[in-house]
Amino acid sequence: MSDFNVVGKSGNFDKTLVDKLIGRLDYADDRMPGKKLFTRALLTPYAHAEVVRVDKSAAEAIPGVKAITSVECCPVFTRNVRYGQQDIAAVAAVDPETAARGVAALEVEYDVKPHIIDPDEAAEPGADHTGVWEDTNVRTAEIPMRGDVEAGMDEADQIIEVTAGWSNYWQHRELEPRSCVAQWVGDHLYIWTTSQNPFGQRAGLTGRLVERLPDYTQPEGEAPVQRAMPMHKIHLVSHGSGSGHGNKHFNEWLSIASTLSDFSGMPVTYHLNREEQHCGESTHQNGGKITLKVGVKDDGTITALDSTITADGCGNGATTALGMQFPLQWTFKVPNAHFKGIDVATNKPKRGPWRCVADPPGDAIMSLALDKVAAEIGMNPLDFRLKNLMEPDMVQYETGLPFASMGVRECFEKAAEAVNWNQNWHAPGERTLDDGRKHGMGISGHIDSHGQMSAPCGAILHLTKDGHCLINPGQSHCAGSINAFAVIVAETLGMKYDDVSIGEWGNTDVTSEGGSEGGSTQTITLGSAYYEAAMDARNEAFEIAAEWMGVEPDELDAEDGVIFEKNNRDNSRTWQEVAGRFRWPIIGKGHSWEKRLRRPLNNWDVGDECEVRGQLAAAIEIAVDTETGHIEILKFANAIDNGMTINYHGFMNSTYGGCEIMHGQMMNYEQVIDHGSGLTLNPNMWQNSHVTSMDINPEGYTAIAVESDDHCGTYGCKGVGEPQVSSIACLSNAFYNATGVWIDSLPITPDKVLKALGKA
Amino acid sequence: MPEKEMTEEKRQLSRRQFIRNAGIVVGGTAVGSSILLSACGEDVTTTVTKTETVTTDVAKYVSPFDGQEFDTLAALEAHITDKYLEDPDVIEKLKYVDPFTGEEFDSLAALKTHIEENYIEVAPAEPIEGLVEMTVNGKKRSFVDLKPYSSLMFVLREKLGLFGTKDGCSMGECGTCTVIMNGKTVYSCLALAVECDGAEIETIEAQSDGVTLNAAQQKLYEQSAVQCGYCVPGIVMSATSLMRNVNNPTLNQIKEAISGHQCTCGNLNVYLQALAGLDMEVRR
Ligand code: FES
Ligand code: FES
Repeated sequence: MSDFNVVGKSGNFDKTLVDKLIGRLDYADDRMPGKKLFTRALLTPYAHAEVVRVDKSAAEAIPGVKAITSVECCPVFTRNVRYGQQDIAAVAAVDPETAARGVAALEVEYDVKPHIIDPDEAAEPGADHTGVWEDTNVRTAEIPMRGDVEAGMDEADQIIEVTAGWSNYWQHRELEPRSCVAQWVGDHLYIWTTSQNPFGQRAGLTGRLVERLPDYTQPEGEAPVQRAMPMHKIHLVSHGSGSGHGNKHFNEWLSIASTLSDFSGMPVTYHLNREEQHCGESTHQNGGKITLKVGVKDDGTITALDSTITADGCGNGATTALGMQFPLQWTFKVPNAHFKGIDVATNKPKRGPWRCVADPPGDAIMSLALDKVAAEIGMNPLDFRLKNLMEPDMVQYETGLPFASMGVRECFEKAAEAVNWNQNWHAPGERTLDDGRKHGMGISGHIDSHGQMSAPCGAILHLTKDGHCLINPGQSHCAGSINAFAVIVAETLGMKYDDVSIGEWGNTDVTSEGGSEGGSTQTITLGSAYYEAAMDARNEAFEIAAEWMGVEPDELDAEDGVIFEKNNRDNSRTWQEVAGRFRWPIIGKGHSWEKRLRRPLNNWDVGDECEVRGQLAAAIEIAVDTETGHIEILKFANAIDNGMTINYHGFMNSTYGGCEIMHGQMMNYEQVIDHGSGLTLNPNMWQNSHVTSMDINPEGYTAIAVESDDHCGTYGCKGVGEPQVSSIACLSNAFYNATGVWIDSLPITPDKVLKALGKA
Repeated sequence: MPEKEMTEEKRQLSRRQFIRNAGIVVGGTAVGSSILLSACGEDVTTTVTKTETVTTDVAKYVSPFDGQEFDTLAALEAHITDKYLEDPDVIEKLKYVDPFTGEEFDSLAALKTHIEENYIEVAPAEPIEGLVEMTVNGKKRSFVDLKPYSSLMFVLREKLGLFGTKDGCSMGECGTCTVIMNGKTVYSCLALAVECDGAEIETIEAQSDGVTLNAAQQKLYEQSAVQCGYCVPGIVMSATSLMRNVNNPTLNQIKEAISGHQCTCGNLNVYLQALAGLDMEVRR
């Protein structure tokens, strides 16, 4: 937007850009060379068992093994093995290989029980109990019926029932695995970790660890005093953090390293290897399947829908099926609707957030099902969606709240335009390229549950006496929201972006609580706190400037490093000049906003509660080689309603990045579990891989910002992380458009293609 | 050949090994900063060290009578005593030479005094078990305690504190640990450190002084082409290697050069665009 001087401008580079390029940005275990112990974990060879006994004696006898923790003494481990390669013990030793030898020497006695990997099998009446929930493998939940589904179906010209099958199951495979260094000094614990939520991790650790009481002697005959570790005795730092995407909110690996450090008296690093990372305690993206009944008029208007989603809750019993309904529930104007969720517990490694637990897989099956409906009624799938999208002046059916911004229609339109949808879309199977490959077009998108305000957090900043601003965000530097705070602060103060620096960050001792860099919430939430902090500091500085300039503070404004009188720009001072008059550094403080309108919208007033939701669509053009099963992405447009672009380069890179990640999800990512043993067969990066540079046509990717000007977020922004990777069904839809054949589950690999085409 | 000499021969060391041993034995200073003179050729039996001068020249004691070369002063002395009388007439015409400086002396005794005053002559050190030496970012680094299973990545990070080299997978699947070894990119997690004996290694830390970026870094800088940054050092090393060998590489060449890297932020396409100088934009 042209009204802004800093917000959304290109050229505002990542504040740690040079450090990243020269290898100087420190990540979790980039410290203490030669001084720390290394950890390996024991991963169970069974997917369902009880641990009866762990014998450490042989491991303890290995030279170089310094500490062992297991189900008996570590707050993370449990005797209840509910999935394969679950961690139940860990060894710290002088190097990773010795730690691995220690692990191999641990003798474990198990009581092995039957396991189930397939959720359909687990949901069968009479199936073996997976042991995840008491007495059952299945839980159901429903959203109270909206309108009258039966009446809505009666209004329809056609009633169509479709299904779409299980989509991918995989671990995040983040390039920097979960990693940390833990060191006790007296009764204080120091931790350097990879994190998406340093303060949340600290809070989590207080519940897991017991306070050290150096002078305490247990009175004879009495139970020992055990107090939760107090927060102020945990000093947690997270600077660089590699590719979090949801799996770095937690604290299991910190607890393990802390326990081993306690036992050994030495600093201990736990940098997970790939098997520990792919199984262990990590969370996984997991799919679902949908049964969708839709009442639809001849013009494509949906009159009613009844949707049931079944989700695999895995060995941790995550209940996400109803959450997976969100895209369908929120995106379309359907007055009569019923949403049901069935969660099934299996013995797979944990389900949890990868760019959300629910929305991406929810979209994957919903968008596929909607295309099936569009195909049944012979309608262009884009037109079918545009016909039924929520409108900006509507309230959400279940909450009754207005949307603070609504860009979903524009997302669909712009994504479609970027791939020349109107020229290129054709009836299924009808276009063959000159080289013999089949040509296909696909689209998907929705209103997402993410992008809104999250838990309250705070911001502090300092105006220094040389005219700079120093911010200290309580967040690690992973996805780049720290740069967004610098943009917001520079815009608010009227400073140059380069005059806003980041001092210390992600350090629970010296920064204010920054909340979570997850759920697409950081820019909007902590960003609002930074806006408040900047206003706080600006007000104090303007008082000093106003006195010097002979005006009232409210007659001043600032931009591009200059404070000036609004009605007489000649009366001006630079920030450096004004700062020279500070008697002390000025400190600005702020708290994050609530989810309420800050500007009037339609019939709604400032202060009214509202919905802030990220919105998205992606459109794809592909070529399918029906002989080899290979699919080439010719064009891929990722359109994100970000409210307002704050951090231009961060948004650009991660939206292009969204294309690439979805490319991997659509065609590659899949953790393969052997149903017989219950074990993951490919806990690595090459069989369960991201795309490589050879797979990518970067010129085919398009990053699109739909700036819907959110009426709640700072400078109109909202969050973007999850929306950038949530349109993976567009490939399934494009494949149908290319071949006239549905592939029901992701990823779409050459073998699935050939099978679908009857060639394998 | 006298038996003693034969025994010494059995303990012959290569010159490179010898220097390492001497660096540790003599004065205990680190190799690279210690100053060594070697009175030996390729096959070494005796060490002479002097702490002011740096040289790696091969030095031999030469018999002025017949031109025969000896590794040690003692060997020269034995040769002279055994074969020649100290005939003053002959000696007047011959000169004994300091093999390190070329300075001439009239008698063996004078040379001996000079050598004893100016150099410390030490017996050859026993080879140190498992000693490994490599040049890392232009500095010689020696190790005596490497485990046979330790990777180069582990040594760079945990022995040398070069944490710019990242550990993404430890098993050759992600590229984060890429360094340049003897001019070629390698996954340092797959190279056993003990096998890197004698290698020239460059890590990300050598690519910039923090002020000036190398050509690959500069390309990425110009587009602020990073996300979380964990894969960046590895990408920079591969791109650097390419750009040293190919002027203005094409998109396909860049694709190939970074094809061994994973980036779970989805930033490979951004690297490709930035390194190829393609225009990136957000459509609004
Ligand atoms: S750490 Fe070496 S290739 Fe992954
Ligand atoms: S930028 Fe995060 S892994 Fe590449």
